[in-house]
Amino acid sequence: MRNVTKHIVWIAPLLCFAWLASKAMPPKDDTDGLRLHAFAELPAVYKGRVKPIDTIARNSLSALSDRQTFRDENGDKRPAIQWFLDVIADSDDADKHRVFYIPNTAVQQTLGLERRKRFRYAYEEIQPQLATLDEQYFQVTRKDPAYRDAYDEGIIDAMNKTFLFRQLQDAHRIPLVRRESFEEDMERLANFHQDISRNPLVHIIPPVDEKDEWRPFVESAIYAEAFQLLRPEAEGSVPQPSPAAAAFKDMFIARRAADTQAFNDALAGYEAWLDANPPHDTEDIPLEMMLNDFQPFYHCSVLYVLAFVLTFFSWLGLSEILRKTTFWILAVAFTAHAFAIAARVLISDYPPVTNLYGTAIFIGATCVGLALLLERFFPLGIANLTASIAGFVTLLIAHKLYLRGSVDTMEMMQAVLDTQFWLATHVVTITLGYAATFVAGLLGIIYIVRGVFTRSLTRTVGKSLVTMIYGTVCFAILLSFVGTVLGGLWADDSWGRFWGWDVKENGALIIVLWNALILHARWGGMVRDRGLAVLAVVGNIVTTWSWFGVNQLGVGLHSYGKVDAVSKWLFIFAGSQLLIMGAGLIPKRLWRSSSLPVQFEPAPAPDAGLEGSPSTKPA
Amino acid sequence: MPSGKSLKSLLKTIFAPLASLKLTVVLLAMSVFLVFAGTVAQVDNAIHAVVEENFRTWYTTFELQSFFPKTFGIPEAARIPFAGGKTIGVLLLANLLAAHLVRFRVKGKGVRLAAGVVVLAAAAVFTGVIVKGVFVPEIAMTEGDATLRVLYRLLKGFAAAVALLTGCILVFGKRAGIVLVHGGIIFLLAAEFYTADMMVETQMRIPEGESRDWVYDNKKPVIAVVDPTPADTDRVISIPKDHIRVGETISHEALPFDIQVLRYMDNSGLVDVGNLGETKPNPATRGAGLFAYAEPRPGVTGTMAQRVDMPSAYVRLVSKDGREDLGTYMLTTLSVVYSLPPEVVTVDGIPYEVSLRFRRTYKPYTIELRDFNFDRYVGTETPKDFSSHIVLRDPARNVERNVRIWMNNPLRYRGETFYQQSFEGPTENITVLQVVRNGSWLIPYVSCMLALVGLTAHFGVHLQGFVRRRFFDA
Repeated sequence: MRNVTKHIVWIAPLLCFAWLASKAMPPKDDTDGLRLHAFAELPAVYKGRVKPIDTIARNSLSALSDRQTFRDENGDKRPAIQWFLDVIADSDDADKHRVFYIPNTAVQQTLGLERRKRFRYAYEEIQPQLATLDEQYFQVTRKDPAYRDAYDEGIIDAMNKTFLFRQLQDAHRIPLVRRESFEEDMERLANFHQDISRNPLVHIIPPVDEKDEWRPFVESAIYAEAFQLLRPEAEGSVPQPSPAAAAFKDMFIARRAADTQAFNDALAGYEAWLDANPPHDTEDIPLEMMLNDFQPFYHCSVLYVLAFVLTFFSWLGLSEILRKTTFWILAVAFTAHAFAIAARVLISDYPPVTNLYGTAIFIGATCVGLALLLERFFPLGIANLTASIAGFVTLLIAHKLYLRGSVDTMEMMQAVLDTQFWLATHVVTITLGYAATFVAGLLGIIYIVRGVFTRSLTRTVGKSLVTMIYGTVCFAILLSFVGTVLGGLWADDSWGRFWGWDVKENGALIIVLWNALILHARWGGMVRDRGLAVLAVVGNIVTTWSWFGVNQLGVGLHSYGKVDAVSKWLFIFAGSQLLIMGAGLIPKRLWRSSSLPVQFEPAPAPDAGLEGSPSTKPA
Repeated sequence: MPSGKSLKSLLKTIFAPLASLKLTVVLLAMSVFLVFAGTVAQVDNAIHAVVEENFRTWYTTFELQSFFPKTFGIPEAARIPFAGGKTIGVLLLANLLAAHLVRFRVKGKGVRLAAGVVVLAAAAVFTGVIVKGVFVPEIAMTEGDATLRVLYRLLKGFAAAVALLTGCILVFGKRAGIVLVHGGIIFLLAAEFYTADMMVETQMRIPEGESRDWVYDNKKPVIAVVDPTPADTDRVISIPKDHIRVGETISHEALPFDIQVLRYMDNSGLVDVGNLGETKPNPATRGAGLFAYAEPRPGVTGTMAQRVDMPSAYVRLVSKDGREDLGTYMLTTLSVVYSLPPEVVTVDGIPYEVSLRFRRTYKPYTIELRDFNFDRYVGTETPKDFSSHIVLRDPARNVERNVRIWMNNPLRYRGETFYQQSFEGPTENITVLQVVRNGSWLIPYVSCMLALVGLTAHFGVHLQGFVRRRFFDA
């Protein structure tokens, strides 16, 4: 029995690894032999990047439904690609899938929708009320955005969803051109094409040659029709139709007729053509498909929760073995987390952080990595706890951020931001600085919570915690200082001014100033252990402000109507941090840890070796 | 050396309070509040207004309402007084210098100290040379790799930092890193003070095929009265914003007429006069104002996409003797956007051109726009890149060169830097360049490396000791 417990240290992490690996395996095409997964892997361009259709399907479904899967008529979970295929093939099922997430009761009433568990509705249920929706939308958009309420937002949201749905269908319509009314048909189609091209369309037809470019299906199909009808007299005056358009047309027709064999044949034919004529930038598609199937961030967050639970058990008993087990489970999760970030770098050809979503997953990985390092130095389980919380919370934030936009998380950059060098240096450094400040703050929370509410903050534990906080703040100031200055240099290099006092720059500056304040207060003897912990917790607020708060300025924080979700969570988070600080300021004799047999006295300095001031006494 | 000792103790008594770490912490806390307040103030105010009124000033006040949700209905008049950025900056500088005077002891002795001083002096000269831009070519085009260009600048900073660190180690021993970091901060603060007073930010707007030998300052609108009759040059009289007061008459001997200011809008938009209806009578009696009506728009704030205010004014021109009404005109800075010509008012046979425009500064060189390119990502409106192909001509220096200016890749010439800022026109054929003169632009590159090298040295030494004790001495 004892042997078994000892081996848990490596068995459990290995099991976790095997579990992750099993999730990374591609799923089998299952639906009655329909080769959905192969279809999902076909390349397409949307918003400027070559990606598998699967990515577009998942993001589109998520935009409509807040999920990447849907439930069919039998209540079975189905992948996004099936819904997507039905929509673009204009199959009758497309209107029946319940994918429109409309949670607002008033909006449901306006659209004449029954109240239903999960709030998901089919297009055929919304369609009868489209005119009403249109009219309400017109009213709402004339309002000053600052005065819009939840109903107004709900109407806009519902409108955007139906719009996206129709846009997907329109971009894949099979055009009808008749010889007898050729001129009128072509004019009608040209108008239709011009009309829908005002919005970004999915481009699923690859270029036929070097001069050609990616095109939406409907555009290529119109050319193909015209070519067909004008042949042979106008050979050369109409662009050569793409074989891809014909293949997709066959697939769509087969899907409408629910003819699996015909669909698979058309797909196989297209795959053969793709193999012979591979478009540019499709090399990373298998890797992206693997990420899509794997969903690494979801599975990592499960492991972080597991680590969190184990850490608690480790404090109840079985401590050392559980602590080590947790450490290695976290290491497995960290590996997958870091692997996913590396894969995203390979796929997008950008450094790891290019948008808010990227910051969340990158901060998460950094916090976990940093905490694991700390755990090696201070094997107390404290840094394990920090790692599990930071990992889980940041991945949760990343997921929420994804749901808000439901757009490609590896989008192309605006011209001004598109400078690899600065993304790789400034953005990465400053994000590392955020992460380090958060780790220090989390350690501060652990210090206060354990000290005030438990008797577990012994002198040794307290001393180690303080050293960890101090060391992390040193690390944080180095990264945030250099990162902030690099940001200024980017501005100098792009616009000719190093420092413009704009909101984002100021946010970063405040982090630097705050970390400097912590260190100087410590060196000047103004704060000791508990003060250091309290100040580090303020760092959480300061960093969150810079991370999210400044983006909300003029958007959510100052609106008249309703406080949007991000602002609400900002307030809640800041409030929680203030509560913890308040607890930290309770007189020491009332702390539970102060009733320990050995009277807890704060050490004068965290660690003489890490102490870095000329004098620890105030002048 | 008793005199030396007493001098030292005298210094200590004087500087000790100023060198206090408590003061540092208080000043840092005040900085945090100032920066925070200056950030939320940008929700309602233009960024340059906040910079001038809150940061680059000795004393300032903040609107109380900007700290709370609008729904609280806090009156706008309620204000919080606070120290301005200059006060805090100067005090931080004083605190920092005093701390080094009082607390940081010279560790080196004899030969080591002498060597240290020599190295420090040499390193300081080297740093000065870098900051002065000696290694920057006169016409610095940035064709090619941004990475290499910036890395090269940072490497120069890094070399300076390492040289200074060597000197500091010889002189200050273990405290070398912290001295270096603080040196970097002093540099940054000094650069910001310098920038606040010396930096000039202007724009140049060139349609394809045309050339310009002047820049304009989009924060300084003027009423310009131009006499185009002299053959070689135009005679320009410009009336700055401070003298444009609603209800008053601008009268000056150099002006061919008096100007009554009827209305002035700091930010404005144009609407078709036909859509005005009965409620808003059109004051204009001549010129473009007969078909375009200028109405006020809320001022640009730091969180808005629009970056500059576009003022308009209604003025009545009256003959010098006050007898003849020469007409009421709508003058607007938007005339550039809508391609409206300046209003022409003829007095004594001279056709004067009257306009409201941004103040111009004329240059000894010209820039011609050959071609403007705007690339987007496939199937999107997301800009991928925009670039201006220009010809730079400076006859006095025999310069005539083709240059491409594009995002993040400016041209540097004659101490000025030309950045691709934006573009205009229905066919994207007008480029807008930002023209900046900033003598201190290289300082932050050096500061960045001073901080990096200094902090790494400082924390590195202690971290190393910590790791050694933890893992090897135990």
